[in-house]
Amino acid sequence: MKEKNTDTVSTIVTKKYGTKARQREMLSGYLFILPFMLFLITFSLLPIIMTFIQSFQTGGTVGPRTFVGLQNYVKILTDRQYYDYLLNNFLYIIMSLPVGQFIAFGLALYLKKTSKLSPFFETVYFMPLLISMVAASMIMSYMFSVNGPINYLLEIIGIDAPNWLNKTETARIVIVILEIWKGCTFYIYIYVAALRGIPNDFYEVGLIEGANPWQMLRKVTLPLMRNSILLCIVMSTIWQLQLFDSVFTTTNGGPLNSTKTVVFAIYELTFKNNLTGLGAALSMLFLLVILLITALQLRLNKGDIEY
Amino acid sequence: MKAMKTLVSILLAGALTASVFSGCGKEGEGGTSGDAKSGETTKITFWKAPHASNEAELWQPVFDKFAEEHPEIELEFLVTPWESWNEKYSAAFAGGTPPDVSYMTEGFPNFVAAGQLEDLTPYITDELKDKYTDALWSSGEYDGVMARVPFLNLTSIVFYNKALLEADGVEIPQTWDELLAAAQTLTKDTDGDGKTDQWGYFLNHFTGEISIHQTAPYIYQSGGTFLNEDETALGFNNEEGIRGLRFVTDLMVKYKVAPALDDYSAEEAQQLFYNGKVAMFADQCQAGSAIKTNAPDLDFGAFQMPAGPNPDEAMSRANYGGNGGLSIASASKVKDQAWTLIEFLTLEENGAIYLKANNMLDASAEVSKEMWGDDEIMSVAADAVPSAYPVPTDPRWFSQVDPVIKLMIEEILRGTKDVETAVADADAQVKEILAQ
Repeated sequence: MKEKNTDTVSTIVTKKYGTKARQREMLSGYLFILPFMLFLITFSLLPIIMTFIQSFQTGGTVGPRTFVGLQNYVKILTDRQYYDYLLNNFLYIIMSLPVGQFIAFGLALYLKKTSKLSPFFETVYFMPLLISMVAASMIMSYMFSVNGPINYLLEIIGIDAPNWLNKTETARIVIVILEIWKGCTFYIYIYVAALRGIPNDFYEVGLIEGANPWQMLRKVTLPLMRNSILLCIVMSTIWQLQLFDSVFTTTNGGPLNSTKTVVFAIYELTFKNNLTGLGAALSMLFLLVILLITALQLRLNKGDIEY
Repeated sequence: MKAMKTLVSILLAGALTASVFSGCGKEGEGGTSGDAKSGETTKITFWKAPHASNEAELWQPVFDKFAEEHPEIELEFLVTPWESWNEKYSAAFAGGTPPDVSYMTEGFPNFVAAGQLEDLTPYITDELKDKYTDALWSSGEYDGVMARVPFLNLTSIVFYNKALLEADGVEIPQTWDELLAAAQTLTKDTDGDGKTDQWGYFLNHFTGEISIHQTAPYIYQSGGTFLNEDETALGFNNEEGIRGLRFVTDLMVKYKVAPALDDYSAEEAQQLFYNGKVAMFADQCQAGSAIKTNAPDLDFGAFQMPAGPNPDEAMSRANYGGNGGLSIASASKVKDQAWTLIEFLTLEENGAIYLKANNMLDASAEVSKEMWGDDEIMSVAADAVPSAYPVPTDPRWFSQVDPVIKLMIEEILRGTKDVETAVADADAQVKEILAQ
């Protein structure tokens, strides 16, 4: 019986054409990824290194800087307000992640079945993604303004309409709604792609076994969607941790800093308060937090490949 | 063949790399891009934050005149929003592409400390020096560097709706007690729905946001100051300062003669005076220009801030007197042309075109008097100049201390802290900032 060839491509190239050929092959490969690597180093890696260096200095965007060791880190870790901003981030995650993913998954299940109206609905559901955050914030600000349509409807049914964006209790809710409305679209299409990728055989077997739709969902669809769901949860968590633009364009961190997030605080420290060292230190600490949370999520959701 | 393949790879990689970086490192359009000579003209850039919604429109006649008199200079003007003033100017100066000429507020020391603003002493002629007072020139100097040529002056006055005051027979208030009484008379529910819809007073800035300069005058009117004498702590964490702060915040919190912060959205709040829903509000004199634009049929007047208990007569009617000046960036490569613009703007016949259109005072009191004559609103503004309190020139004031005070005021107005606690907490933060 012929033995199975387990050689890698580079081994095959080396065996057939020699070491020099392999080196030329590798060189071609590296040359092709060189532009992207240069871009990555210049616009990702270098800024991270520079930010790390700045985190040990005082000074502003203009003017000289002084090395101060860990002073900036100590200041951040001993100031309660930054923990409040981190708590805001977690509140946004807790409020938007389950609801957003549930809506996205539900709409994806609806879109999964193609029909004559599918292109229309797919276009409609995609529209929030096309609108800029500034435009989306203006829409939300109008919707939730004191004399806006939401309050009009609430008053019709006899509920006292609040000034949503001007009250600490309700301002966060508006931002969560904005984030869900704007972000949910993206996940819909990841779920649709994943749903359409599940072979029909599994559902046919389920039908033969007498499974009802709810059992199909629990026993077939969800397990086979696991990787996509994990991807969406991790991405959503990271994006909510990086929340800035919706806060900036809607409430500017107010009222009373109740909607402020860590990234907003980094922006304020660096560009408004002229404390680039503190802003850099907060960036570094927050990077660690994001990495930790992401690693934890991936670890908790580790599982076997389903197919 | 294989060598050709490698060569093609290298060339393709080089082309891709070049295309990625081709968009980087371009010289900024509005900055000091060297001698940006275009034909026979030299280009200069002038940045200013708006004092009117139609700022560029108000400046156009001035620039047209400048272009006629100086055809060799091409001027590029940019209106830079107040909200992102710090970020935009810091980034431009730090990035080496600042505007050649910029309108600088009291926040200019930051840039002087970083060596970013040119010392204008060699440019200032005796004639120009005599035009403004020593105090005004000092306000543009920091750390021995004359960085700002005075240009405009603003004082805060109280605007009022004449019809509302006349309807209730309310006289112009001269003291705090009279102001409170007048505001209480003018605050009412006009349509009988049980909700107040006409307010005697208004505490937000006319843009709808909280500004410390709506409340700070009362601190000075009571005998407090922004900072203490050695500028190490707040100057109103004392009986006098707290008295002033309590009076003004009680207008909203206790007496409810001013709408609460969450009664209206920011956009609605802006319209209240224009729609005749607010009888009186204090703001810088150029707010008069906004009223004329947004409510041309509104019959309004102005009066001096009512007197507080400060024994100093001038400061008993203290008001926010912001003054602004014109600076040249050290990095500018066209400083002579930049100075030509500044010299042009400081001539009475030129600066007045913009200042008159925008309800502003010239930095020179005499020029202001000549410019405004007996104008009903601006004569009040001109009379308020001696009572204007100075804003500290510490570089950390605008970037770090101002936000602390703003938050303190919001905490009091929203009722989350009482006056004493809010001031004490703010003072602790300010001490830490100023100790750095």
